[in-house]
Amino acid sequence: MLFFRSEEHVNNWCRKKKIDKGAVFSLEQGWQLAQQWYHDRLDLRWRRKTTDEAQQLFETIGLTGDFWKLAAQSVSE
Amino acid sequence: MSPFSVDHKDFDNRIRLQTYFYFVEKGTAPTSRQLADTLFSTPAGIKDSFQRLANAHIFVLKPESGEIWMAMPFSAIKTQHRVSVGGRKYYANCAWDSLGIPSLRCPHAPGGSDALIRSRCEDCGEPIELEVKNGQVHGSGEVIHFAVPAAKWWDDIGFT
Repeated sequence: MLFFRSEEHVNNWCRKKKIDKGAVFSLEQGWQLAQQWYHDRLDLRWRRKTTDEAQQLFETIGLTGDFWKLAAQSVSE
Repeated sequence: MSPFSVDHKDFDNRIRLQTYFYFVEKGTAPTSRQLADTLFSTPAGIKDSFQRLANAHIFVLKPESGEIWMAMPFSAIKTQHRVSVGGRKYYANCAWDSLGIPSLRCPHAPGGSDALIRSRCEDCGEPIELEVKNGQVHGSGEVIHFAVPAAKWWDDIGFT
């Protein structure tokens, strides 16, 4: 997951590297995802999210579609 | 559970938390020896715990040493994603993790922390500087690219 100055720079980079373009986020979306994912990581009772919980989190911030579909195992970042 | 089985859950959770607190304080990972001294264990016992935490995708270990490489969002090795929080400096594993560091809530920052994030545009190499202030991120229209679909992140966690 890398920073780019704009989506045009993402397109240039994918072309140069000959890789498929993935998902592009605004900073605000990235910030929302980071906050929801990491806010409780220092809690004593923190545990990894199950696949369903992670999928639900993605959906609440609008990350839907095949790219965001998780396999049938729990995930982390 | 057999009478000889050991439940490592509590021990591993202590290792997890001690590692995170060490990262917050020092900006890098503790070694197995340092944690062994703190937790009255042995480096081998700590490394076994690191491995269980890595198997659970909570840590990522350095292949050559079995020591901690990533305790997400922190990186124990230098990366292009540098995050300053309250005078302390950290390395993040990726763009998402660089936003993750100021998202961590702890007693002295219950709502997350103000931060300065320095990275670069992967295409042109121009520096990128973002500010997190009062729970908002400020930049100049930058974007984040996820190259790998979510279901495949752990195929190669070093490239996502």
